Amino acid sequence: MAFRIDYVARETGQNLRRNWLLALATIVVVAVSLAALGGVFLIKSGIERAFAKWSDDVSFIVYMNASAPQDQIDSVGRQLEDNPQVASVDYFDRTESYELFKRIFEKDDPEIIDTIKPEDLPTSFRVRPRNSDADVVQELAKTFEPKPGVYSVEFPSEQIRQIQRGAERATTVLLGVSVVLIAASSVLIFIAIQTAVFSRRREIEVMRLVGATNWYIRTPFLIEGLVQGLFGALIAGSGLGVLTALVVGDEGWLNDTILEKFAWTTANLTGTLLWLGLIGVGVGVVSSFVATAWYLKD
Amino acid sequence: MIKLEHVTKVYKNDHTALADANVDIERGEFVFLVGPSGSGKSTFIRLLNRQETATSGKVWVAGKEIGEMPNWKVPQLRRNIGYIFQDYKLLPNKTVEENVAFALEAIGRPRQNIKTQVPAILELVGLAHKAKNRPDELSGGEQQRVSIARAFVNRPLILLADEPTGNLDPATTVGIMKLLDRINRTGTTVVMATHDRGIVDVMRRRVIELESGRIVRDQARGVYE
Repeated sequence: MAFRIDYVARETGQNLRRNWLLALATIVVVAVSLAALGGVFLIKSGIERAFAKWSDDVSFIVYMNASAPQDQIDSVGRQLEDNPQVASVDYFDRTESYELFKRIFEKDDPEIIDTIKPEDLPTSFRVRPRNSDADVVQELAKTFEPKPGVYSVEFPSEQIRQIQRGAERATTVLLGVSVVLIAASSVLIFIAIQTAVFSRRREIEVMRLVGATNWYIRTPFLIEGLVQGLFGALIAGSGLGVLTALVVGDEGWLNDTILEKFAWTTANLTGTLLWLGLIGVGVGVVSSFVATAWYLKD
Repeated sequence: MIKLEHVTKVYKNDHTALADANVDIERGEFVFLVGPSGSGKSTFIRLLNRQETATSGKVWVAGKEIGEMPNWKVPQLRRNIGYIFQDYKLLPNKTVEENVAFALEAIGRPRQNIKTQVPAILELVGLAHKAKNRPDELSGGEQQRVSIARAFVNRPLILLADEPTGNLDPATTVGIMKLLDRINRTGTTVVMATHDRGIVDVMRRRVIELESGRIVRDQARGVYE
């Protein structure tokens, strides 16, 4: 059976007009929820960028000289692996170091990426000791500083680790709150669509008796839910775009402040916007599908 | 065209609405279902377009056993069956022609098709001059004509009518019956539930009488009682 686009557009438009206040409220709540979720995504990317060097599994990093010969590198690697206090060692060759370097500098100094080649970068060992006590780690790390070929040994101070842990907990809580908000918006879309279905129950009864398929009856409602989710996502996305320009742009609020390292990138923003669009549309379509399924059971 | 074989319908509250009904209706017949309220007339009609399914027995419509029919095939069945309500069920925010067009739009008919069919059917039911009016501007008889136009615009093989004249005065009822008779003469099978003694006695068509869910009389060219 051919779908008539003008029919679907007209019916969807009528639904939205008839319950415009509820539709508007729904769109606003969807927008707020998605903006909150997107905000959490962006803050999380900022934090990840700031702490990119320090993942949970690494307690200190041994940087080799860029010019260190292979036998020195192998020797340090063996000594690390043989050390009974070391739980595991990850070797970052030049390519991996370059990838990490790009991640760290792509926002602040994109020019620098062009001037550096993988072979200019030192290789490094990421080391996880058995004992995570800061003093023990520091003691262990220091023993590798004077080895031949070692450029430097870096380890995070306890404060950085605490900040990192605190930030991660905060984003987890915020993520939880946004998930609750998203759930609330899907309930609201569900109610909006149920209201639309209810106010059109006579039409639906007639349609069923003249032989309209469930999909034909359902489509305008699905599009209505999709429109609400999509508009919510568009508003949330615009908000986050403005926020990004204000906060992390060249003249952004974070520039030259202590929080500058936590700035996210436009690439982070693009990724987040794509996710928001998908989530908005998904929440809209799924909620309205469930709402119509109640009425269209045979 | 329509065949019921030992059809029984028991509702969830254990009320038996139809008990062991056996009926054979030929193509082009006009059949009155008569009997007191609660005798099973509406259930009989609702079984024919799968608004209800039989608890036991088989229901054949247009060559197909519809009790076993999967749900996704039901819309196709209903496109061959027009349905007329006692309370018309017109859409108050649409005009007469939009109400009729709605039945074709709902099954995805192309616009060009609708443009030619709707005026033709409004002509047939005598309402071409009210095409732009809304239902609340029409009399009860006119509203029922719109409802008939909507049910018949897709030229179904069967027309089901559940007390179509129940809300109308005798003079208007005659007009509606003339219209249904005209539609029947095009070869459409008509099954009509009614309480209206006058029209059954005047029209002298087949009469199936129900009492507490049982068929107590099936008479060609019958009267109400």
